[in-house]
Amino acid sequence: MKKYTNKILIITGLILALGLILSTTVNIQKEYKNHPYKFSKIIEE
Amino acid sequence: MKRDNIVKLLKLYFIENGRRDLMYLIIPLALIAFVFSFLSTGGLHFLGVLFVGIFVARLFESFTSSAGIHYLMVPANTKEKILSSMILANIYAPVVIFSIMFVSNILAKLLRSLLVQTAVVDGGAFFSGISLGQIVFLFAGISILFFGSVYFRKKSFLKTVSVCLGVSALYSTIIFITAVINYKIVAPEFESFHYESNLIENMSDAWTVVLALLVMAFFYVLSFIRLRETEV
Repeated sequence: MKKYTNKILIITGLILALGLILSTTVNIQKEYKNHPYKFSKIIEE
Repeated sequence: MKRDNIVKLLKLYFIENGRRDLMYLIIPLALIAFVFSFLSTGGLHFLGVLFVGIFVARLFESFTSSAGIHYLMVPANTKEKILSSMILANIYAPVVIFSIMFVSNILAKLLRSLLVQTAVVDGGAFFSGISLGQIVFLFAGISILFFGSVYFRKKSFLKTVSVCLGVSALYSTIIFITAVINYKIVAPEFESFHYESNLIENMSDAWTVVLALLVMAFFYVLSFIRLRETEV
């Protein structure tokens, strides 16, 4: 039987990493769209 | 797949490892849990999870090492072997370990209430504070350690745990770098930012169960494939 385990692990890991990158990007873009004032200037205390 | 073979495999496990489990798992755990719950109240569940983890991670170690080479020659197929091991990992280990800890906890509390008049004996306290998510993640963790015990031949608990830590560190770095790049594009004048990736905390119970089931299915199927590859 051919060895599939390592390939499956690597491909799943890559898909997961891609998913994380996409979800982070989407989250930040959504935050920027909904609350643009948070990004407009440095808030001085 | 025959039910007879699964029963025989379970019997084989208890004949070979029953004594070892008693000497190195059950009696030490009972003593540690007794002393632990006598001295303090917290931290007992972590101990149980640790013991379950070590038990599960060592499950296939004895089967695949040279000492357990005869296990490969047991007349049963991979499905039967993996199913009997799943019963050991998902039912035998958690039930035995947590019930022993529960009994030790009660005994320690009884002794404490005899010595200290103000102490109360409350059996339910052991189980309160356990959420559905924690139980579900325990079983997902068991499936990962199960796969680790199939994948690594020696020191599988340490190896699996360190690989898991390494992978989560890698993913955290990926999230961090992505967040930095995104913030730099969206708001270049910002010097600092705050981003929390709270994927798991925001999930509802149903989604947690679905995620855990997916993780379990993935790792059990992968264990099956791995065992098929290494089978003689």
